[in-house]
Amino acid sequence: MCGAYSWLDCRAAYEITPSGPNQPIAKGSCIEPKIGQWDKINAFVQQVSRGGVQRMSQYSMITDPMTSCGCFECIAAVLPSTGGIMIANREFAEMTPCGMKFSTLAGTVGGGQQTPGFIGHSKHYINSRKFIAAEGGIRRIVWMPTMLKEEIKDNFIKRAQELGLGGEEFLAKIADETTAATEEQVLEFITRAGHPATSMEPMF
Amino acid sequence: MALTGLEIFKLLPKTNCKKCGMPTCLAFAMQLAQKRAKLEDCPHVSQESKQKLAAAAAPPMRKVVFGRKDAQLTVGQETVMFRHEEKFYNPTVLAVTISDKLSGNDLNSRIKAVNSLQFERVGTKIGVRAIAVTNDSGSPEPFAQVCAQAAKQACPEPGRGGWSRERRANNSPADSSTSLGTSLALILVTESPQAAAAALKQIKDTAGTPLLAAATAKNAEEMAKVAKENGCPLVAKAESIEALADLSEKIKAAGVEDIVLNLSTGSLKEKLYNMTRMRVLSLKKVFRPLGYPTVSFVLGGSPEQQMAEACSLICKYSSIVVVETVEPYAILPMLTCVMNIFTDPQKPVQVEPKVYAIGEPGENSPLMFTTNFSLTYYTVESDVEASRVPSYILVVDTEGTSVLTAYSGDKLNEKTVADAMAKGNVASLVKHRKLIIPGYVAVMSGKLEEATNWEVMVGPRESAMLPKYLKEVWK
Repeated sequence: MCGAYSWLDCRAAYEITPSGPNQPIAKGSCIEPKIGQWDKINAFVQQVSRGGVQRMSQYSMITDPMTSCGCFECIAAVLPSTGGIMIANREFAEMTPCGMKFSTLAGTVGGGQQTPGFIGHSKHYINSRKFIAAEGGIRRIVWMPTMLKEEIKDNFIKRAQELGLGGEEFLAKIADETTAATEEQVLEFITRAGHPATSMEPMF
Repeated sequence: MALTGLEIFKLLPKTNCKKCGMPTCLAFAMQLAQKRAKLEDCPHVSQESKQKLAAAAAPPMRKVVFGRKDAQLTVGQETVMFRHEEKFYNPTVLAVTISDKLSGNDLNSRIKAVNSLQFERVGTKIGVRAIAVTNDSGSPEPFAQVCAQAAKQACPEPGRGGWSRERRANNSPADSSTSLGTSLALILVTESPQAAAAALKQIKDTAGTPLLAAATAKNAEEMAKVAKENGCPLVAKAESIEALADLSEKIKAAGVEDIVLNLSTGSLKEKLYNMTRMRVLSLKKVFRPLGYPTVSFVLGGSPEQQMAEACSLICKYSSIVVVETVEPYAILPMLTCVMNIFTDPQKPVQVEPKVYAIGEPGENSPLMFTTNFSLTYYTVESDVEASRVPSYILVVDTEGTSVLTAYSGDKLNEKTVADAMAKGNVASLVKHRKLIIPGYVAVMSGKLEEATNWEVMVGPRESAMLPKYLKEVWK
């Protein structure tokens, strides 16, 4: 999910070193269908983090979000006043609307810490149906750098159509560094554009 | 529990006013969560939020300070269960008992023996930091008297050498200029409020703030009164964790906030188990009645037994350990144990980058360099000493990394070595222009010769070969 490592990588690593850091986890039974928590996953996370992380949600970036080591391709961060999130990709070295550059954000979410409101993930994962499903998925995205928009465009449009957001239209409602550099400007932009996040429930 | 950045954010004004220096309140909140910013930087935060944030930020374990003004000891305020999570902050204070049954010469020699328990290890002075006067006589007068004498005479001698320094320290006669200029703190061990009051009256001017040990369920109010009047921290002593928590609350209600906890019963195994539980309760559950530093008493048993027990209690999690033995061979391992677990694992231990003279080198003596990582330097130093060839060791500042690490990180190159040579003014120390370099960085000899115009001699890869090298190749 971080983009540096795939499911197949994990499986291969496990087969090479069965006692290594990559382990198959039985999910057990689902205890929180909305945010995506399973009892055995929680038990596993608790045990291997020595109690440092108690629970982990598959579908939420607000409640017990997933942790990462630091090699993720993108970071999603809440933009509180907009009711949405911004996503910065690693190649984007400029200041982002949340007031932190990618490097500062990476210091915040990396290193196995659980930081509600922030997750590290891959570019590909943005177009997944499971991407922050608990918070409303890609409907929440209010800002992305142009290069990221361009890179994920094709699948993003398909996914937006699937959600009934309109394909290219929705992409155009998302601000980028050419249209908004600060949180205030993002809010102004998405209000004008009629972005769905403006009428959604607050995230937290 | 520490608040997450998002929880902190909810308490902030959310105006993105930028007056804290951050572009957004969210960025500021994340900095606060990582303890890289101070709440005072936000001019608009509400009083209510301030209180909530301060409560969350208050250290789960209280800091307690005692001892003399010129040598105050700080214990407590630890933040983690394990050293590798961050670091341990305030090193365990090691104290030695003096019974108030002693008098005359016996007393003098006991104080002298305690004073001598100072050592130097890898360039750091370590030693016993407190004297615990025990009220074995059961009456106030002798207790007050011995406390007064201990307060007057407790002055540690300059460090004796550990490791390779022992020989040198013994060779040079006591040099008053190297005195530590500090004195030992006092711990008053009595459960009689009368004895405590009498002793405190005697040592009011000499001992600074002694630690009073101990209040029990029986004498808590009277002891707390004595402690409060004299402004000294108080040990709470009880047989179980539950009783300790009750007692510390009681003492706090009586107006004494600086409390040190003492579990008085149990085998070593039970003590370790309970001390660990107390640490978990105070740090992880923020259970305030147990959020204090701890003291353990290791009385009785052979010096070896005391050593083993004290070391275990230093590791889990005594802020102060009081022992009976004055045998240097038993005390040094305890101090070493303290030193080992209280060094900051995030920072390599370093020596000062300069030229060190080993023996009495002259203008024809060999000159070699190594890096300022303590382990590297002291290994080289002891091997050079063993060679009995008087030499200069130039220590290059590599931010505390070893030779190969520094070389691969480009902290050890012809430029840093040339700079260190210029700073140490080595050209005036030796007449020859030959520099011995570590064998592992032989590859830099060419560039180094060009940068310095000195002849580079490639030394051995392992410093253990230095004695042979200095005797055979250097000659």
